[in-house]
Amino acid sequence: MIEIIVPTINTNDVDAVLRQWVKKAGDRVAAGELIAVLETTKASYELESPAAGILEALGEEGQSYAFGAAIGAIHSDEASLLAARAARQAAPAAASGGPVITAAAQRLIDKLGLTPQQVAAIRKRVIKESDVQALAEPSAGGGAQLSAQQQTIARTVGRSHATIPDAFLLQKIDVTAALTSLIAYRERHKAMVGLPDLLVWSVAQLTGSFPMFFGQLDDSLAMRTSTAGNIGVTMDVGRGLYVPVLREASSLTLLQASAQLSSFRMKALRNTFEAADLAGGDLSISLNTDEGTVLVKPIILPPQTCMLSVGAVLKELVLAGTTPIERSYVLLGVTYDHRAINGFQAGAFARAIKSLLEAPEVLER
Amino acid sequence: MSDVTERIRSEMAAVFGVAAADIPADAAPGRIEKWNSLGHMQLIVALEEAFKIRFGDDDLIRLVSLPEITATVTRKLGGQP
Repeated sequence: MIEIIVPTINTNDVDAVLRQWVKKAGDRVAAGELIAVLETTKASYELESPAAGILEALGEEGQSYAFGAAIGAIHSDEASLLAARAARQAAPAAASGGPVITAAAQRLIDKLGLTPQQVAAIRKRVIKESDVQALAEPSAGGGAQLSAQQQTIARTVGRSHATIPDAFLLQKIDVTAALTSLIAYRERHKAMVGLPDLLVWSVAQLTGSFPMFFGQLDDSLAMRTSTAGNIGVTMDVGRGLYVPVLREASSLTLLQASAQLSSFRMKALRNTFEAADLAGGDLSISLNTDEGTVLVKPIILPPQTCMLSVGAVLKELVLAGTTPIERSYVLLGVTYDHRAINGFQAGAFARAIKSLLEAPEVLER
Repeated sequence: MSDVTERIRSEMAAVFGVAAADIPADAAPGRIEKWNSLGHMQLIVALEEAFKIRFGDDDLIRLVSLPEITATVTRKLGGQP
């Protein structure tokens, strides 16, 4: 038997609604065949069968399921299906008609020390983290509910704060030469390539040297590293916060990376992201380049281990010998999961990014 | 200077916080301080609203100067390129 798991569709959400079973319970399906449609707040997602066999559909259409939750199984034969059904009927939760509690909800229940009676008062068949949060923080006197999108952001940041013991490092980077080089680069290539594009692309070049910053750390503290350079980048043009993922950026040229980021910016503008655009980031970068923004300390998007942030370009006067000259700089923030990464490594990572951005010849790689 | 160019200049002046007269004929990102990646997006939004047009994905990365923008907007308005 192979479980059908709700994948981590993107880093903006923590769960997805099972919109429709495309195949019926008991159908024979092929590996990779479309079996269900899931839906997050951002987009719909086509779920494929993880194996060939007989479908056991457990999830209910219209219900939300946390990423990582099992909503069914694929059985190799009828005997396996019947055995699983029998085992399920014997399970205490099913026998008592008790609710299904998602893993994230259970962690919050444990953290808050809620009693079974309090949990039962939620009166839902599937209890999600947001249900537990609502129980713990009842609305005072009928106040207005947050929008669905903001509630999703609330769940993500809540999960991050509750589960990731983070630490923070700040690095100053001189971008005077990079900005000058970018002007020439844009004119040479006739393309709008900006400092954020250069930052994202530069970070992707470091996957092999700093593996603990790129990947996913699970609850058992096992780290799955990735050298692909799948970099999430925050985008908010006033029409919703998105974190699209630039895929395999470590093998792209700066021009290719910039073109992809440009396409994402248009999607942010049009609100036309697809689920695949938002899934599978190994590390994320928060861009906060509005004029005068010095820096934003970001959260880490679980299960990633690091989020970088960069503020607007700032100016300062420094002495070159005895002559004052103007210099442009940015502040780079490195928020890292202290369970997996220590300050020494974070400092080395920040200095490596600084070295790339302060060497304009990097543009010609 | 065409009417389209002047209207684009006016939008640029509003987005980048400079006087229209200070925007040169060959204005480009980096040569106007606030014409960075974020400013570029803000300019695109302003131009779409001002001219009632829609830019394509490829336009965004290719619009790297006032002449390029003028040519693209003119084309979308159905005029001469």
